[in-house]
Amino acid sequence: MTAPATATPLAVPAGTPFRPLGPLVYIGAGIVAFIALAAVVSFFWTPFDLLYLDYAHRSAGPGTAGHWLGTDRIGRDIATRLMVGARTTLYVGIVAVGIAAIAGTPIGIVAGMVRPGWSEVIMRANDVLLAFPALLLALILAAKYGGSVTTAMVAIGVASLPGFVRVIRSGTIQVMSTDYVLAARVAGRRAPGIAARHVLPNVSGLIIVQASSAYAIAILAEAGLSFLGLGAPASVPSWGRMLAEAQSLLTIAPLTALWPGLAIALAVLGFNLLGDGLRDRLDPQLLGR
Amino acid sequence: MTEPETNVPDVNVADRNGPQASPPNAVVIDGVSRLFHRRRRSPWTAPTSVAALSEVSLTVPRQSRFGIVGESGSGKTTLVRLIAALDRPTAGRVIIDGVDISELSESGLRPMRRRLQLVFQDPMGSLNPRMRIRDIVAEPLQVQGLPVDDRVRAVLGQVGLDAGALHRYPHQFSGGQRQRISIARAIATRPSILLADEAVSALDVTTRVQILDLLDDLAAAEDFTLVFVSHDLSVIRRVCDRVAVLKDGRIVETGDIASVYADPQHPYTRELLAAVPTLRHGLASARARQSARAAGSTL
Amino acid sequence: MPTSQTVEPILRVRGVTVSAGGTELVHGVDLDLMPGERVGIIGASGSGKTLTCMAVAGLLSGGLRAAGSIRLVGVATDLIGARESALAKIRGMRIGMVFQEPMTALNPTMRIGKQVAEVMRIHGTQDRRGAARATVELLNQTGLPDPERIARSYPHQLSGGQRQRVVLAIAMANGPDVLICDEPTTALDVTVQATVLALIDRRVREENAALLFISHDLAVVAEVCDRVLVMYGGHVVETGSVLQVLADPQHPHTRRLLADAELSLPGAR
Repeated sequence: MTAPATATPLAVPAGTPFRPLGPLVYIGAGIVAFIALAAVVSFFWTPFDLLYLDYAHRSAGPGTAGHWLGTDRIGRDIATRLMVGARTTLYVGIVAVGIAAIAGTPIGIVAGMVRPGWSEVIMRANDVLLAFPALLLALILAAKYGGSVTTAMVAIGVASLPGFVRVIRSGTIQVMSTDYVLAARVAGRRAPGIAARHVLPNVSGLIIVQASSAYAIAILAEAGLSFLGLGAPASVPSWGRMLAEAQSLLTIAPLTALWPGLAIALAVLGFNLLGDGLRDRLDPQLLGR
Repeated sequence: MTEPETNVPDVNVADRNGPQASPPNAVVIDGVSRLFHRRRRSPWTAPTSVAALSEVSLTVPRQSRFGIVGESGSGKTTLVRLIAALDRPTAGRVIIDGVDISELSESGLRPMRRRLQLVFQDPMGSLNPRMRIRDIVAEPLQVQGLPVDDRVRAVLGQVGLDAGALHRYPHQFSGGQRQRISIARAIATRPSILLADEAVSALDVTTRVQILDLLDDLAAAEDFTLVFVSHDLSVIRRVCDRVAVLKDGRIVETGDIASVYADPQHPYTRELLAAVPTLRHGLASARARQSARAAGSTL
Repeated sequence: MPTSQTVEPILRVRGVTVSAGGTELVHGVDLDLMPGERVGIIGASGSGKTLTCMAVAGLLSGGLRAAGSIRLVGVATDLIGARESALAKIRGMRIGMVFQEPMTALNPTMRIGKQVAEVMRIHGTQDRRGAARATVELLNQTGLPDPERIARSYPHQLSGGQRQRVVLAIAMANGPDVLICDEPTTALDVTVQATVLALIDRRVREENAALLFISHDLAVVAEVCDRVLVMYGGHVVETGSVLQVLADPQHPHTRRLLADAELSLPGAR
């Protein structure tokens, strides 16, 4: 006597939010895409050769002799160096955030699934790491292995790790409290299976959001480390190093410092806007509802 | 490889409802208490504890439909978790299909898992939003190492969903349909006991009736024991033949549904019965208001 | 309650439609709510009853759009198409609302008393000290024990039924002309449901407010309402007094709802 379940007069699935992405996300995505494009194009084409030194026009202003953004104190084209520097920035960011995400996600999931006592232990250890300054770590690594792009990446990656652990743990706790996890337990699925099939897919949005926020911080950290000479060596163009080199001539040619500074600010802004927008969109509280 | 009914090891014979493995009672709760420790207020006072359940005993006969009524705070959630082996009692025994599960390890529980399945209250939260229906229903089968595809189609058919549902996601279904999916998942492993925890409380009246009827039909067709937990006595009455009334962690009344309904013994049961909104009562209130208004306007 | 001479409805809804993208979900709802009248809207989930009420309160989210006309007595403009600032003045002042989920309707980080007082402060009906006094009085009127203590508590320290009483106290704080209740007791236990229904009944009478009560359960609606609108698939399929609709349902869907509300009808099993 069961009536067929086909009579659903009006299917407004309550789970699909009519939630448009705000314009800021698109602006953020646009900035990020622009920087990525500049980095990619720099492999094939730059306004000038990276190693070309225009002695005739040193510390020149924008537009001088075909230099869009001018030259630095030894006559290198700033636009060219910014484009190539974007490579370093993006590369360091990707690897650093990758280290943090790949290590932080499993730690966070485990911390969210084990008994509260063990979870406390993991989180306190995490707090210790959080309190440890990335700069100090970079100094130690640089002292031991010499300053390089690799030491910068590892230092930034380790510094971003606690953020991932925190966010993923809280997301995991939320997923673990759902009925579908209970159903999986009743079905006899063990913890690793639950982690892989139920927790990970449902915290993946959080990983993306956290990654974009961490990326913004990583860019800033890379610039800072390069500025101090702990990151990319002099042979590798980097926005932070460009800023450091421009510093001594700040009063004579302030624009030389302005361009890399602007590039750093723009990149940080882009990733932050993107991260915030994605957070609004992918927040797990909005997901399963 | 299909497993033939004959020449299976002894353990499996007990697993299937073979003739020698049919204890008369599906669920026996024997003097079960469950205490929860409160966080201590200061290092000098002893930690206190609250009893979610106190010496609860009940027996659910095989293939019966057994209702457990309780409001929030009655301990029904704790009882459900104990029966589903998601929690262990502080004292007493929980016996499922003749096996005392209160002492079993997680791996020892695994074969039990297939025999007892759960249907939840919230049709939104009980299905993983990132999984397709096929994978949701297949999960208990995969975990138990049972063949998947034909069975998934079969159980979806049994709950009134066609094969078009297989590759869709939970949010594409209405609340009632999601509850059907949840039931399909629960019956996939051919459990001998189905535990429904407020399974229709989040549904509107029309869908509620459909789901209750579905459970009713399935219990008859699949020969499982239905344990139905709800705060609503009228829902219990629709599907169950026996009922236990739970209040403050204790069973205050238990008996045949018709006699409990007709002649409730405990004051709390009477209160529960009186509180159920019925059309007859609503009609009486509407009439009373109307006549009060008529009297008011003539004055 | 005297039947007043005013023939003008307090709320007049004409041809209201709600659509999402290109799809129309609610098709031309008409409704007149007289002062002090209690009207129930019943229907299954997806019948459009909640969307209709959200349209009345101007609370439709994101991609949902309402058309038609909704007029509230004393407000010069049509509520449909009104600015958010104009609607905000009406909500909490002229129209009070109670939702299904009493947990999410309250801010978990704010004390109860502050949340009740806030609605009076926002609309300027009470100054700070007056609001504090009125808060205790309002909580007292909703039958909460020890209102001073409740006012100092946080939402998580109260039970579901108590929280719903607080939500009702907030809705009634400024003496609204219309109280909208969207499934106010669905999330509550049966015995608590009975007391909350009785409370809504009493408070609406005391404040002489009109009531718009949404539920899927006809038996619940009959407890508090005089008149019902039955919705199905976005249409109003039947309307009449509770007594009339219960005794002699016309539309097959209404009959279905009646049968389903009465789970224990003989022969149903």
